[in-house]
Amino acid sequence: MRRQTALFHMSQRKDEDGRAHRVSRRSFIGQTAGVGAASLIGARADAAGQDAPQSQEKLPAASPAALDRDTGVTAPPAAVPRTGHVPGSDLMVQVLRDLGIEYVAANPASSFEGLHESIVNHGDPPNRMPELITALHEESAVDMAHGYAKAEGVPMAVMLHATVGVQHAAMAIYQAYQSQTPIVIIVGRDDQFFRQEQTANDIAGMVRAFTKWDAQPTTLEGALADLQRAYNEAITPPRGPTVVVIDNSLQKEEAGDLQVPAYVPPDYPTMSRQQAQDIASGLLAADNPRLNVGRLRTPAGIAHAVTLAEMLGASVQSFATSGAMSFPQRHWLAGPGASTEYDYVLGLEIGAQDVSIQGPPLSSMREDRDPGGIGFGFVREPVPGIRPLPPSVRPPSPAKEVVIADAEASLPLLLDAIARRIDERDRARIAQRATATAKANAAHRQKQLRQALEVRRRGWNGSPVSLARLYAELWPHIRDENWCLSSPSVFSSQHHIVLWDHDRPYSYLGSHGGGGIGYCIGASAGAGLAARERNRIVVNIQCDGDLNYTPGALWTMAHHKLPVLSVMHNNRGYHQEVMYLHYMAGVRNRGTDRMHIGTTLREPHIDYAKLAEAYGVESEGPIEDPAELEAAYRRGVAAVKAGRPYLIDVITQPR
Amino acid sequence: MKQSIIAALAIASSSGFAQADTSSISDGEALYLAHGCYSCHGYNGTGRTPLADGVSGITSDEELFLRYLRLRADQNPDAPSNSMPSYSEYVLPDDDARAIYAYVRQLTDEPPAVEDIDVFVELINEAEKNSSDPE
Repeated sequence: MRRQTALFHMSQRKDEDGRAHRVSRRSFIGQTAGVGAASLIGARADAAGQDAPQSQEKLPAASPAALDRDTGVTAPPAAVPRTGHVPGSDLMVQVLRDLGIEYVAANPASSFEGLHESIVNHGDPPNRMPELITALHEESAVDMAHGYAKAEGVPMAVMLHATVGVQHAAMAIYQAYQSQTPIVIIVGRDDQFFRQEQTANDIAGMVRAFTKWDAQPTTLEGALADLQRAYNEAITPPRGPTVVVIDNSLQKEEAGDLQVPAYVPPDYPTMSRQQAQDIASGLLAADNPRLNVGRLRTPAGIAHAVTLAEMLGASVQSFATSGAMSFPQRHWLAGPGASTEYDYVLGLEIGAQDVSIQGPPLSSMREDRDPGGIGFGFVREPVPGIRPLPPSVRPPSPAKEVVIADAEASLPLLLDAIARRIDERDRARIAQRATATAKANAAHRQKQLRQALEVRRRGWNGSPVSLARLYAELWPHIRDENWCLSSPSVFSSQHHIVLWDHDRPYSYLGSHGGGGIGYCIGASAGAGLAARERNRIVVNIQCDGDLNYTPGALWTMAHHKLPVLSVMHNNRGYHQEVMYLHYMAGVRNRGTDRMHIGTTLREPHIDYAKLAEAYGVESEGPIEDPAELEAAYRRGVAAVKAGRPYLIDVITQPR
Repeated sequence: MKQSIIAALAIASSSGFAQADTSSISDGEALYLAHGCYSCHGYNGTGRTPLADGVSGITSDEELFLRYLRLRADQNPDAPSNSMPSYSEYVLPDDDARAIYAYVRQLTDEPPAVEDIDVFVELINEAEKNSSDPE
């Protein structure tokens, strides 16, 4: 206690001096220790009823210049590089830059200090393409990459620290794998200078069964090539996370005259010309053709799908309300069409009645990647009839013919085959069909909307806030914006499906991947990274239970100025489990009044507005009166449009 | 069983409802929350499966309501489900179930009409505009 008191007085004198000065590492540590001690003393003095110290030293706030430097706005001071010194990690950064990787999310660690240093210092400008994104947990880092890749269709990178970092990230990697989302994961490894517990011969082995590809290069040249291959493997179907384990020694190795290898883009599996001609014949011969458009890879694929539908005047089943990169929901051809008696149905990355063009399934990697037979996600076939999926996400029945090929890469072949075959008689017939389809779809939308609104007006003025109103009131504020709904909506009753228009590739990013909770806030930060420099805003309907896994992602949003509006679906519990548990107690005929135990977040309530504030995110709430929503949304959308994340805590009905 | 429910509904439609006293309504509210009815029906009967304003057939008659609570115990007992649990007399005695009924019966919602909700009107107008010029 005496030593702490001495430290406190020392730091207090500095306050009285009021001078700004540089501190050496040694004195900085001493100063920090003084602050900690001062806080401790203050708390104890209060507890003892004594006078508290009059002042407590605080670390100086970062200057605007320092903040700019931290967030990569300005470059570090120019320095003369060491003569002839080119660390291998500089070339790794060059590989990532050439691949167009915008961001690398990481929680800092010794096993990738070389690469970290290169990202923030190498290049002109440094810390751009890629930019280092500070994650407060490895799970958040991977979730960010998950959300980003869904929104953009291309991967960003993540750095993980050795055995422990990979284990922190494992669940998030698993979810990205199950949702077939491309991520390039770089794992630092150090078996010379750091703790033995944090290294292993085969670190990637821990996640091999749920990643698509991995490598552990032994040379710098090999590391550069493996980074390029990791990217290619991640973006070709079946897409998914890939891993490159890079020894710290390779990152620090002198590169000398070594050059970055020339990048060779991947080949996508396409259907044959004959298959394209056969499908074109079927579509043109049909009186009532239909397209089922699942999840394509990129916006370019969607553009081709739209062209195909318009060439045929075919009605389209869009999956834009199930996830990203599907057909625009409110396109005039999207809907059931004039008749549901379809005589030729083509599926693009989804099942269909006649022909389905689908990339190789995830299960095709099972034997190579899971020699131990863990069987993640492939334990059993889905049981028909038990808990069917909602209609919007229920896959159509299996096709008569499945063409194993990438639909997006195959579409140009199909468009070409149709263009070569179509004649004037076809065009007249198609024009007539297109008009009838558009008219029928518009009428269907009106009817569907009327029915939906009649249901959704219930509880409109009730408190807590109805989830229908939570979604409905937000729509006028984002309708004319370039928006992205980043969070899975399965727990908040999916009201956006009927109330909002999902017409952009990233309008809705879909589900968690593996149903693992804790995904939303990190994925929303990733969607925010994709949005930040694209004049886009992100909406995150954030479940309360989910936020408590990795709330540190809020700080990442604040620090990196991500335009994310988080609206809490705060039902103060793990509500699905509340319902499951009630059902179970009913089956067992006991204790249905005890199901709050272990399933609810009460006593005390969690104040999410304060939580956000603590992480530097502007916030308000809790809101229980629905009449307060409109003004809160107005403030929230204004903030995110100005580049400031915002959180609104809304106390809601359970579902 | 299906026939008996239909019969009960028929009886309910022709019978009046007794006026519940304040204490049973108050008890019913506590029991409604304790036994998790709010999970699906909302804190005030306006949840995903609403009960307020008598919109649900199972609240049209007290005896029917009690019989409905006692059903379903043997449905997919091993599968996780968020469907209506079974409440036997053992876990929810008749008197408690009647108190819940009294509470549920007096719940009101009185939501505005679709035409009185601005955002809904805008949605309808937008859909109608697209209907006149779909392409």
